[in-house]
Amino acid sequence: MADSNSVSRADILLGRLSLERRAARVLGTVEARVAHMRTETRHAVQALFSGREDEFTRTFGDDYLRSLKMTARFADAPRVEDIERFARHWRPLVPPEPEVRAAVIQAMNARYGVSPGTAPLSFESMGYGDPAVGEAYQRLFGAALDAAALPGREEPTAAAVTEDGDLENQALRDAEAALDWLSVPAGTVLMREGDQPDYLYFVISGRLRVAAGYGREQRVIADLGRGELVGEIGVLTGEPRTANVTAMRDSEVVRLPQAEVLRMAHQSPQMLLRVNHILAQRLRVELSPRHRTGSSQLTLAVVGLSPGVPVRELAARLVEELAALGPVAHVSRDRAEGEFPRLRTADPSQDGELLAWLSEQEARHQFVVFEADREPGQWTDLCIRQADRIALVADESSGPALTPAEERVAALNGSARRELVILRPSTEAHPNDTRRWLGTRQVAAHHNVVLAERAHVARFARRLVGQAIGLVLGGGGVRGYAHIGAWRAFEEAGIAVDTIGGTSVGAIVAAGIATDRDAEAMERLGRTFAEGGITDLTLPMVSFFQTRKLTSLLRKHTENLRIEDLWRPFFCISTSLTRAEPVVHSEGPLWRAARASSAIPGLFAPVTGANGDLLVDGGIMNNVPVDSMRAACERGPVIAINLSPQVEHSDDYRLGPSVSGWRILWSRLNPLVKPIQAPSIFTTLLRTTEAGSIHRMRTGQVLGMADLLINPPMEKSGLLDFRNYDGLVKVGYEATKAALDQWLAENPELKQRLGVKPA
Amino acid sequence: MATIVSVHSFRGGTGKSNTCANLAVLMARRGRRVGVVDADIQSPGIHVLFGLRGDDITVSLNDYLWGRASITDTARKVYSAEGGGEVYLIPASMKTNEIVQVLRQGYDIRRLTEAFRELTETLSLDAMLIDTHPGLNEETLFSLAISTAVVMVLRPDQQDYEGTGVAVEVARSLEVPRLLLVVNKAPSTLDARALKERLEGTFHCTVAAVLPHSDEMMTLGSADVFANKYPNDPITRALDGVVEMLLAETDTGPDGTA
Repeated sequence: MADSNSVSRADILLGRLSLERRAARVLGTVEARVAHMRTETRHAVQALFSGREDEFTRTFGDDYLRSLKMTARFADAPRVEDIERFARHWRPLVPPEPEVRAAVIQAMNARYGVSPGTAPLSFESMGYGDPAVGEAYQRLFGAALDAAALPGREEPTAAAVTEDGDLENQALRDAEAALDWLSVPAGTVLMREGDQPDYLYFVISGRLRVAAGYGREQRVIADLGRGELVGEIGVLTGEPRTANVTAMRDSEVVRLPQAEVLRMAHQSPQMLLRVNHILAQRLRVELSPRHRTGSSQLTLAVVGLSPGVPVRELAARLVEELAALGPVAHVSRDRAEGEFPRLRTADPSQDGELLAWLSEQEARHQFVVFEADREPGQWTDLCIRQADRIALVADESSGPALTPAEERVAALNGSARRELVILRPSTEAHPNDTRRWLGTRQVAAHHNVVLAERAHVARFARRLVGQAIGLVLGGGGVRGYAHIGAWRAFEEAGIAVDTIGGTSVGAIVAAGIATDRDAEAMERLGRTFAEGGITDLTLPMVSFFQTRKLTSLLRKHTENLRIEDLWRPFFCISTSLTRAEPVVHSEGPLWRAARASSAIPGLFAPVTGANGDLLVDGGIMNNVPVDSMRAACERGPVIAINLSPQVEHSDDYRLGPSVSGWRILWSRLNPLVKPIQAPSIFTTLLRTTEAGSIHRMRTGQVLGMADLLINPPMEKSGLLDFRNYDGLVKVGYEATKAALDQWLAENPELKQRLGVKPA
Repeated sequence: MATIVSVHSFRGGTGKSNTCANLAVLMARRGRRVGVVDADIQSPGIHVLFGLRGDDITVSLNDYLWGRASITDTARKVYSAEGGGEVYLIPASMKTNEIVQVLRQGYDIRRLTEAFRELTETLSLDAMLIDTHPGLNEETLFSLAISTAVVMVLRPDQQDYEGTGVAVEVARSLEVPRLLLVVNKAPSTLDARALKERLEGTFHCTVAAVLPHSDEMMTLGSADVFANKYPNDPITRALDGVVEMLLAETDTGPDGTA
């Protein structure tokens, strides 16, 4: 041992050579972990006090890559006090064998000159004091394991003042030292409503849910991820906690005690300003109609429901498509075993080093995709536990019955969002049995996907991470032909619409698009409707128009498809007259939903819903359902087309307080009398249908929830002017094209997210 | 205690395994009971000289090192001499996955000491020969450290000279009691006596034999043990001389207790 470059008989016979090698590796892992934690806490402090919160998510990755490039060392070489400070956290990285522990103690002492006196926690973590380790040390190094064998060495701490230039401020340094690192298992409650405030928390990795209310009535306020702050209000004001905060999955946080926060608030006005800024920003975001609760950073698990499902291929394709949205890591058992070969025989969830590595993956990537094994087992369990969202993948070979994999998911991670993926063999025909799969399952969404179709996988990827591109088509009677022109503008711009919804005529056009029609097919379809005589009058017992033609056209052109079988998700809104509430149609026959959504009261006969309710036009409740789309898209861009101006063009109506149809007819026939200008009963009925929800949209800011709202100029066209088909299509096309061009020009970063191919 | 001899070379291709097998057979001819361990677990091969194919090895040293078999189960008799001498081979696995497993998981070579003790007891062995992995890795160093003698095989080649210098130095630091050099594949044009003197002067250890290059040996191509096929060849006699040296100081006869 005296000369580390020679070898002695004792080295070989006692196996010291290999033990030293292992100890060096363990020490390297500990250093990497400590360096990671130190970098993270330092960035947390900077984010809190120097306003670099926005940069937090990428700082670690940048530092890490830079240090690898420059020096192959960590940006922050661990210092003795860091190793000691995080001793409890690197403890799981030290193997249990007494011989290895003895060798690690020896190596740590040799490298850092620490002794049990100067670094008691570190020595405890290495097994100092365990008689078995003492014996092993005696056997290996021929000396008793005590303070005398481990001389401390006073070393100038590598504080590197120059490197820590922006940490010179003593307040920041103190804060860093006072930060406490916590690993919290899934389900841990960090704070409860009504508790006295004790700490301010900062999320390093994982997911925290903020919710208020009691028991089952908990309302989710936010899901917090990496780089976000929680608990600052209570700590500063001393008021009891206003919400519950729970770890949704295994998470890592740093916390700062209240006393420390207050002390620093006195010392550093900058910090108070910073917290004020965060609060103001948060308030602004929460008040904004575009407020999004979902986190942009997600861990995803791909879990097969039966052994034959190509989980590996789907995971790989998912990773490819997510790369367009942000940095993504693919974690499979092969990859993990490549990093840590011992996992072949050990339980991965017990492996501290693996978990530390996973948390670094999460720190460095926006998305981490966990690929489960084909069979249930320890690796699959780990994937399930680590995930915010779980894609349960079935193919047509797997039965609709609940599988053991799903039972594991329910048992291990009930809070993760579950989505069902049904892999289909080809796009030749729409599926017709999705209902069978959904019947027994509680899933937040489902995806019909053909693996060979890139567009399908891309859509699945965007929807899974809550970045789907949603298109909402509003009601507006015959003006709905403008939606058909708008669709051509989308096609030309190359924007992949992932999910589509609408109300009234918007629902009819959306149904056509949802069945995978391109612009040309939509234009043909629109003409069929325009010339189909759907407004033929009938004896007005139930309605003015014959409903038969509209119904048969809808049935014919939706091929009797059911909504849940569509490749492209669809929804529409109708109004239940029975219950006086809006109805969101997201399953069942497509024609029936579209027919209900567009049943303008008085003009078209109502439809009876599955539960017997009387359903009429959704325009009464929600004429441009941006809010429903926002719920399905979370953070994704939502584009809405509104055909109902807030102020309708009014003809120069001149009609007295009492007017009869006979008088109007007479005034029009008699050339000597000035004709009475009066709105038609149809116009009045349609505008009546919309008026309530237009008013609500204005006050409730429904339209404001859209990222892009397009208002084609409709004032000049009548609500039931069926002859002006080409003109309406043109207006819709031109307005949409102009709006999309301007939007993409103003937000060039959107192009990649929207799947727009570079021109 | 039995004689433990490591047959080693710093570089590959010196004829190490061949030499080891011949020494074993010649010891058996002198009535000794000999064990041969193929400790070259990453590139095994000595079984071929005893007429075994990889597929014939059903239980191997690998099984013992990973606790799947007792060491006695792995030993098989591969040679019997008229005077009662026998050679037992403990082969290493030729299965690809088991060799790869060595690279992945490693093994505790220290289990070999226990194995030797058990083998010498149950098979009443007089000598153990270890066919080592060329070069210096921890397993090889361990074999050297537990040996009573090391036979270092080299060719008359500058690379081998330099490498052997390192191996000899390490063997000395491991306090190996006896160190013998065997020069193999010497061209007939080389003056054997002058070479022996030069090497002994350089390395300060005995050159036990200088074996000439042999067409018969090459033709045999490891299909058999040379000493078995050509008992009266000068090479066989020279190797027998090495055996004599190895046995000389450590025991007195087949039943000797040294």
